[in-house]
Amino acid sequence: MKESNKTFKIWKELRESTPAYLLIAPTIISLVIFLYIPFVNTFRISLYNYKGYGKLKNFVGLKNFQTVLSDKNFYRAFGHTFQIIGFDLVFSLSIAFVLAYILFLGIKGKRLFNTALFIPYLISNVVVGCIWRIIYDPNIGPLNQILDVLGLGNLKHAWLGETKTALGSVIVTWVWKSIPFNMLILYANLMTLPSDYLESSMLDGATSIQQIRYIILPYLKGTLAQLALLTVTNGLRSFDLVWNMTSGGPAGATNVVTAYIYSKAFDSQRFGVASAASIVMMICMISLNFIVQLRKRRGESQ
Amino acid sequence: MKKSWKPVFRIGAFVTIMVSSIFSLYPLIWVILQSFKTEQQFLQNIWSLPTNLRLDNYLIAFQRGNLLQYFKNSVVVTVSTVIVEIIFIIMAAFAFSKLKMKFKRFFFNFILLNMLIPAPVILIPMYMQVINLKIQNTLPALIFPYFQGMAPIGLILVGGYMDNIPDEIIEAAKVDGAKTINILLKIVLPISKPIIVTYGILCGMGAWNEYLWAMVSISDNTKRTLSVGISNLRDQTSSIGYTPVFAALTISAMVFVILYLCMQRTFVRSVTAGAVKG
Repeated sequence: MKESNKTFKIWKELRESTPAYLLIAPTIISLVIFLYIPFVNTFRISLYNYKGYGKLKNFVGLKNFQTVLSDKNFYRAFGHTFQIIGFDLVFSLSIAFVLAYILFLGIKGKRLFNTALFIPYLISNVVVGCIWRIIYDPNIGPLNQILDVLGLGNLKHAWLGETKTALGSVIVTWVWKSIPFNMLILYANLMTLPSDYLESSMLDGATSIQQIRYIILPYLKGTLAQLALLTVTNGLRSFDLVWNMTSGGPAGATNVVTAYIYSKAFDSQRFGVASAASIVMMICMISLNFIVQLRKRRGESQ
Repeated sequence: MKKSWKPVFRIGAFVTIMVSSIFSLYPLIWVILQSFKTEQQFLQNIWSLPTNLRLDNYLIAFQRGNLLQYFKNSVVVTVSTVIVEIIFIIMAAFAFSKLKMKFKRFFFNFILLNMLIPAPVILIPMYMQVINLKIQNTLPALIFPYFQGMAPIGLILVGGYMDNIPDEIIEAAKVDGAKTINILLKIVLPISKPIIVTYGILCGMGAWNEYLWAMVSISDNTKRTLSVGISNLRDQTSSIGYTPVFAALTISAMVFVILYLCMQRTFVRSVTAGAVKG
């Protein structure tokens, strides 16, 4: 009796939920088809020697993972990705903070500067990549010509064509592109800082440096952590900007993880290896997220 | 914030901002200027200003570079993606926020979980899925994969906004005998308009700029989107010259720059709201 009552109750609740289920159905169905099924398939494909067409056959077990984890180029790609992320974290966040701080304190023509500084965010990574590829061009590129004019002709390089300078040049562009977003978010959060915080500290005779150190940076801690996490995830995903500047070259000097996955699959038709690389990348990303969440939770409980 | 700056700092701050602004704007301005010059003017002196507003490069890009086709495709893809994303998310957010739903937490997490799966990870199986479903080179092959990427942020933004609509309004409408669908269309939707615009902008920028998936899933040249088309055009400088490529880059870049200049505030709100995506 009690048991059937319980079933009845669940049925009733489910029936009452019908409108809600109908409304979420399109979202759920498209996520199942275009996210979860492919996601599960990544694991399946990674166990096969798959060429990208026909049925899955040639089961090879974990051999693809072995291939990836013993591939020097994979580690190199990871290294490049982390270099991009590292430089982005240091330079983009600090430059963005300086700019946001100046705009926050107020300056003549603030609105105009705000707009000008934000423009790179609006240009797609593909277009940014194409533009900077021309900027770095050894013959017609503005950069080398500026160096000539400044009398620094001996610093001229085929920036994207030499293994020594290629990654650095890509990183400069990457940072250039990521500053506006960081600046906007930091600025928006600075504007929410209650003004009496700074005013009362000024009455106490605090210098600007002290204000930054003891009031502003602690206030922005959460925002900076969030931006750092975004920087890392964006960096791990980096593809379109790098690909349009160098296609991973010269000699793999700017190959990043996503480009590694892409070319393993679509250039060398080794879909199994590419899938194994995707899974390694995902494990990295999830554990990173996990660490951040863990630290956040610990920070909150303290 | 009023604050008395020491003159040295004031000048320093001004110079910093000024130099940064030039550095941030000049690449785009330089490209725009070159797009009006002839190939020869460009090769002779990359610093010279265009002599007049010459549109030949745009015509070359449109005709020989197939740019008009790419542009149209991108508009179609972006508009339909935004429409689908907005409709799906409004429905889902409303259900999560205002309706009774058994297993609500489960379904909510089911959608949010996808934030942990970076797009490149499912690139290959997604490509196979599209081949299985025989939707290569079609609009749905772009729309739905784009939607899954934007669903969690949409649910957070739009659902969070709808949570703030007092339940009393909805209860009152129910007492008056309003149907669920009318409550959504007549009450919740008008109130949620600002957040829907915010979300729409994020979706639009995402779809317009996306490159990797569009390159993989669209092999038919007449169906390519602008970002893929531009990237191909870039490799043709030897046959059509640099200046038409500058014209193409200008067109692609200016779409969102102009939209931003027209509705700056809405844009800034979108970008700030989108920062939760991660």
